[in-house]
Amino acid sequence: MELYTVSELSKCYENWNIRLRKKNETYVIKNLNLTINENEFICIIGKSGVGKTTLLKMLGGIEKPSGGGVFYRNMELYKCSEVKMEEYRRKEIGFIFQDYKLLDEITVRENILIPQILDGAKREVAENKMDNLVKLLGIKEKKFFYPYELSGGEKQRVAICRALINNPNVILADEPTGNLDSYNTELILKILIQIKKRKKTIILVTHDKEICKYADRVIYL
Amino acid sequence: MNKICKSKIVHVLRDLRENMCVFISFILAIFPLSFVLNSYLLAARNMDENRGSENIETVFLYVLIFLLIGLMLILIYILNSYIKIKAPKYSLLFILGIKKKEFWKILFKDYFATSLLMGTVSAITINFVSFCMASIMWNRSNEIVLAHIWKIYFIGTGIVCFILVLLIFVTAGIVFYYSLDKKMIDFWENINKNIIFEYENKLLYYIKPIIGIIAEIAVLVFCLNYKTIYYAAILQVISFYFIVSSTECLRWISRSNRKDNYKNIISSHALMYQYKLNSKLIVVIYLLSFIVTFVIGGFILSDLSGNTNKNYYVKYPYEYVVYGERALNDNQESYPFFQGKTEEGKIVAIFSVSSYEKITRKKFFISEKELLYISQLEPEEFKPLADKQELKIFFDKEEENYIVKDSSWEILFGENISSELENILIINDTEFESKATKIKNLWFGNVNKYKQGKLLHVWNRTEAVKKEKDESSYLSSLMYIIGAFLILEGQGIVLMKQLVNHFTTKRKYELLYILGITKKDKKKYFFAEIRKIAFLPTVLGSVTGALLLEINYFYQEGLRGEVFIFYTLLCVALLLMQYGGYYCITLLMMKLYKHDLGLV
Ligand SMILES: Nc1ncnc2c1ncn2[C@@H]1O[C@H](COP(=O)(O)OP(=O)(O)OP(=O)(O)O)[C@@H](O)[C@H]1O
Ligand SMILES: [Mg+2]
Repeated sequence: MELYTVSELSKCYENWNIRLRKKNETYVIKNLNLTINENEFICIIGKSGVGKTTLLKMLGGIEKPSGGGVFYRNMELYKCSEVKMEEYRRKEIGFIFQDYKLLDEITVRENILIPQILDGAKREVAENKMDNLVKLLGIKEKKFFYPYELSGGEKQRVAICRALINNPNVILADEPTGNLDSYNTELILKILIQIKKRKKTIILVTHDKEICKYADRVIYL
Repeated sequence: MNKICKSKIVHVLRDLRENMCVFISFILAIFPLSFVLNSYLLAARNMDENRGSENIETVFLYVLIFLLIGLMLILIYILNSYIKIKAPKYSLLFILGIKKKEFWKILFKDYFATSLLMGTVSAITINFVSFCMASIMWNRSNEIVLAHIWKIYFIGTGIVCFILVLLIFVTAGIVFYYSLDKKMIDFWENINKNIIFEYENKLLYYIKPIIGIIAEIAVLVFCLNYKTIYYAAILQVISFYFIVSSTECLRWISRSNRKDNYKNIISSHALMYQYKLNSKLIVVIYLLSFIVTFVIGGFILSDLSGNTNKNYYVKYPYEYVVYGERALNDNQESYPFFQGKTEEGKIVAIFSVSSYEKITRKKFFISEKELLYISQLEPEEFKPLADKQELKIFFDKEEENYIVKDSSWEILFGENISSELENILIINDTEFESKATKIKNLWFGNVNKYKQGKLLHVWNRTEAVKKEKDESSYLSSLMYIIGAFLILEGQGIVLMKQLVNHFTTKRKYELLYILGITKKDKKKYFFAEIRKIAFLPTVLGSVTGALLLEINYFYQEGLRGEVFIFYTLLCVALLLMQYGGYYCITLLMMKLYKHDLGLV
């Protein structure tokens, strides 16, 4: 069954060029058509700067496209009510960012708990889930550390924990293994495959050809 | 040439926009001090010399001292956060291997020069604005003396600028000092990180809360005596600062209720972190609400309890008091007197004992070389001469030693009606005859008959009472307005905090937006944060201020139910208003953090 339908999607960034005193329009994505089925593992590959992150953001409901539309289960994103969009971001999506986006002023544990709090989950349930995830990804000892005290790979794993804790339907991962050694890369791939077995959809951006082997489909941008 | 000029202007403008937050916060920080200072300078010029001005001067002095402390804390806060914003850039510069000399140049231009420039510009403009405001509100005299106005304006601006420049120098010095012996990269890298574990020295870690608690105990001790209650007030503020800024204390508190911490992760995201980060600001908010309830509330309270039913007929027994050098050939009774001086240079009016007997209608005996000393100033200021056995009086040419028979506070003609009649001496009749030169006459009569004389000094009760009432309503409206202003300033400071921390807060709410926070939740969390950072200290300040004031009044005048109920209700109403104000700030900031799609 189709989960995402992307039709004639395009995105252009406007910026003001100070030197030439005129508007610059750069098209990052132009007239893209795409369908993604439920329970699919998709890899997106492409040169740097081609617009992979931009596409992922548009799918995740945080970047408005300049043309075309994104349909999620026959609901057109960016055209529906704001409440629905909030719910979509909160319940359906788990986003792993390239630059982690962790809050420096709270601990790892609290960073991971945020989505659960926003979802109104009970404390015991949330703490349980958090403990399991942290154990799974091998950052149990770092639970009470602050993000600035972590290494890049550890931060990445924290970001993955945060994306997984709400048990989302779709996981949008922007180079989730970019900073990890081969052991941890494999670990995360195993986790992702396990997740996929639970009827979830995974959309993953990567430069690693090895990972593409696990994917159901590879999209070249 | 023209092009270079233009590009420079563009550059300056861009810089200005970048620094706009700091500029606005400078203005918000300087405004209260400047306004109160100008009000004080203007009011001092407008006030009548003899009446009530000392009371108001002490009130102003206390407000100014408290505000000065507050201004220092806020400025240090602003400059600190200004440096913290720039810190990543500096650490990067060092990583890229900048020479120290080059770096000092950049730091000078970035921090020192800009903050100095913006500081002085904002001080001058804000002083002008507050001066205009104050003079529109408080300048009652019709003839405006331009020289006076300029003098006041320059004094105000000078003081404000001086404080500002001094503080900027001090903070720059602190930065310089800290970065001298440390590795520069470490210093700039850690400036944003080591907020939670700030002290390398363990001793400092524990000493702050200990000082705070000791100060708090001292406050309680000082409260036992009403004479030291003002020290208690100042100490209370200091101890609050130490307690709030000590991480260890707060960490202990937050550890003890870690289990309930779950829902508050977003709103307070570790309360202690926020308190540590904003301790100076929190103290200022505390201070402002403390000033309003303690100092200004005290003035209003004394106004309410004291002056309402003051009996003017006791204070001023005669409708007219007239004196002058003119002799009288009228059938109205007059009392001759002449002037002398004491050793300290106080002017005294000397009457004979027969005049005194006629005025007071009682018998009194006084022998030669003896005198009776009477003071007509306010009763609180009367110091009896009991310890002084002898008093040397200087007359026109000669001088004479007298034995003080008695000294008392007594109203003969009226309290405070003229500086010449403040201190009165009564001497023997024959003594009076022999010493008297330049005799003046005093009588209580309708003035119209005698008004032709130029050297006549006329005092009228109706006029004086009207003037006095005017003055007191002027002063209390001054206090009410300054109080309202300080409350508004508390709101302004919370707004300023939002502006200064705009970038970090924005980042946080962007992330929450991505994670799918609902609008309602966003507002809830934001308001919860403001409640904890701003409203809690406001309440604490109000409560401690009110408590200290009520203890003070209990000692001085005893408990008067209706006044206290009114005062308490006023405090509660003010707190509710502030609560509403903070809610409005939340709504305003929500508008600012409203994310358009694609901002992330
Ligand atoms: N906010 C923005 N404003 C203007 N241009 C932008 C903005 N965000 C991205 N771009 C531009 O869009 C292009 C694509 O960016 P994007 O981040 O999607 O690349 P990417 O494919 O993820 O690259 P990488 O593999 O390096 O992460 C880039 O050329 C970038 O300059
Ligand atoms: Mg990218």
